Amino acid sequence: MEIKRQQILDLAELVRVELSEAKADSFRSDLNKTLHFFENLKEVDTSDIPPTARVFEGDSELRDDTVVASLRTDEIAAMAGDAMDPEESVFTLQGVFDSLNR
Amino acid sequence: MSSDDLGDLPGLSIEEAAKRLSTQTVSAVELTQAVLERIQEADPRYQAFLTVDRENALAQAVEADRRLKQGAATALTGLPVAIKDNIITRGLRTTCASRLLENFVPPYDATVVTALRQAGAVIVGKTNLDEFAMGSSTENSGFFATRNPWDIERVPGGSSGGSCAAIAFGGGTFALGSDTGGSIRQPASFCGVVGCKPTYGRVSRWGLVAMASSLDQIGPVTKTVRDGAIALAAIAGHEPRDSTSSSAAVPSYIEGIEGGVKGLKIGVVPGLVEHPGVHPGVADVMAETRSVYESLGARFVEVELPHLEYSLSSYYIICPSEISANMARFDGIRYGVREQGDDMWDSYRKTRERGFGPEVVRRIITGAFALSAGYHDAYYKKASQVRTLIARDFERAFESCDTLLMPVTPTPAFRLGELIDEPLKLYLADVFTVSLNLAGLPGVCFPAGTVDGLPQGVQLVGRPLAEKTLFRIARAFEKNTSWSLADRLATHAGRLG
Repeated sequence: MEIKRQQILDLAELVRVELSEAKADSFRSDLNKTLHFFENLKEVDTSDIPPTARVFEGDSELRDDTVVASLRTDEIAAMAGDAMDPEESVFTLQGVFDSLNR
Repeated sequence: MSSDDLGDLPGLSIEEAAKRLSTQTVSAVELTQAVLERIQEADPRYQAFLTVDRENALAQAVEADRRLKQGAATALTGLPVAIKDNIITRGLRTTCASRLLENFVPPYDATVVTALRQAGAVIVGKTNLDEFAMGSSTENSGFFATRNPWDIERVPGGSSGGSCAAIAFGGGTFALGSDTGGSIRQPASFCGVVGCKPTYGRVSRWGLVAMASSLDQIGPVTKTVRDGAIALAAIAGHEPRDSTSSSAAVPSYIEGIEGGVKGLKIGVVPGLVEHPGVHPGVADVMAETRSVYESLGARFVEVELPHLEYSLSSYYIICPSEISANMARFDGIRYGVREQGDDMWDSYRKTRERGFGPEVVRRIITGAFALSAGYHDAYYKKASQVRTLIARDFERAFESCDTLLMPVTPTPAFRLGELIDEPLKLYLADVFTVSLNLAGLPGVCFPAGTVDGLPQGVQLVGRPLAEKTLFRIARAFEKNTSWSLADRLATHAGRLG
């Protein structure tokens, strides 16, 4: 498996990280070496082996559905800086639908 | 108190310091001042700390002295602790060693921090790490690299390199780190201290900035094995806000710790240290460790871990996959640095490009690839299936032994800059550690010798929730040899720094 530069750029777009072509080439080289190393997994017979997502099975612990204290608006505003309108208690951001140029 | 008198205070273990505090030979304020002065004096050389919180530490120490006088102290009251900077601390800057969180001040404490505050420990500062815990040398920190106190031209290991270096030079009585693929154990080995990666779910991850959610665990970094037992007991336990938290009762890890190893069976995997990439000195340390345990009455058995050689591939697919999901929260809106772009998506792209270092981006992209349509089955699903086989291998091995003795690293601490441009080579250095995280098992690393004059640890691996057994076995070695931090420091005029 050899990954191409355009694939790296496409992936960068998917994960929302701006990447120059030079950086994409550098990551491409690193990723190709790593993918080559991963080839050894093909040697392993995994027929009928279930994947593990969580090592210890069991029901997830849930807490009681009760109202508990959360962060105060001023604490959140302190983190968000000017991205938060404290009077409206909302985060402000650029329009989601303003541009189709993703 | 003169500077001469201060000399030994930063070097005290948890037990030694607690004894002096309880007999009022020294106060918490004096102990904290001594540690802060040690940090001020030595840390410019080692750069283990990102933030030192002098004023609040001294205030906490005053409160600790009040509790000590009232007889309301715990095992950790008044003891200076350093905390890895991916564990959030209310009101105290938490950066994850990333430019993206350069000025982030959390509004709440991690559960482990709450536990330490309630115990009366004194938080002296936040330690350096590889950015977002991604790395094995602390060179990936977005700010600066930490240096190994035993040889400043070498790395302390990572990602908990700051915590381990701090404990080695006396920048805290104990520390907290986190371990996703070896990030407590490997730097503990490189820095000659004790590091414990608990069973997955033993310690709450609430307030640990998530890297790989099925692999991460917080654990203690200490000067002795007994200290490790004390520190783990203080932070372990069920957490209603962490749905992966174990509800098993927390035993007293210190009770029975001197029980020895007579009759215990220690498993070893044949051929593990004969790989060409393993320094012969590491094999010698393993052989010596085995001799010590045999002389103490333990019996060695050979076990097989047939899929161990695939653990690196499995880990370095699963880990970046989970990273790519966890890093999505850093969009510059609710916290962290923010770059303004032409539109929302452009702002995201620019913020993340500015804020994340190259290793973080590399892992996010790798993870996105492994999870993407057309590649998911061949990579992520395959790696997850191999993970099942690795976990089963350990389960089978523990049918014939009480613990496994394994190396921690294939080499002693490498030089700064040696591997930083070779990500794959750096990944390969994790060959002995990642399998425990994949299987969710506990591991205790303790100093067991030297290689080329540098500390070298070994690790004991246990069944789920077997930390008590691991501490007992590790303690037997520590008690009967001279490789502990204090023993090694005795040959360095008592201190590093």
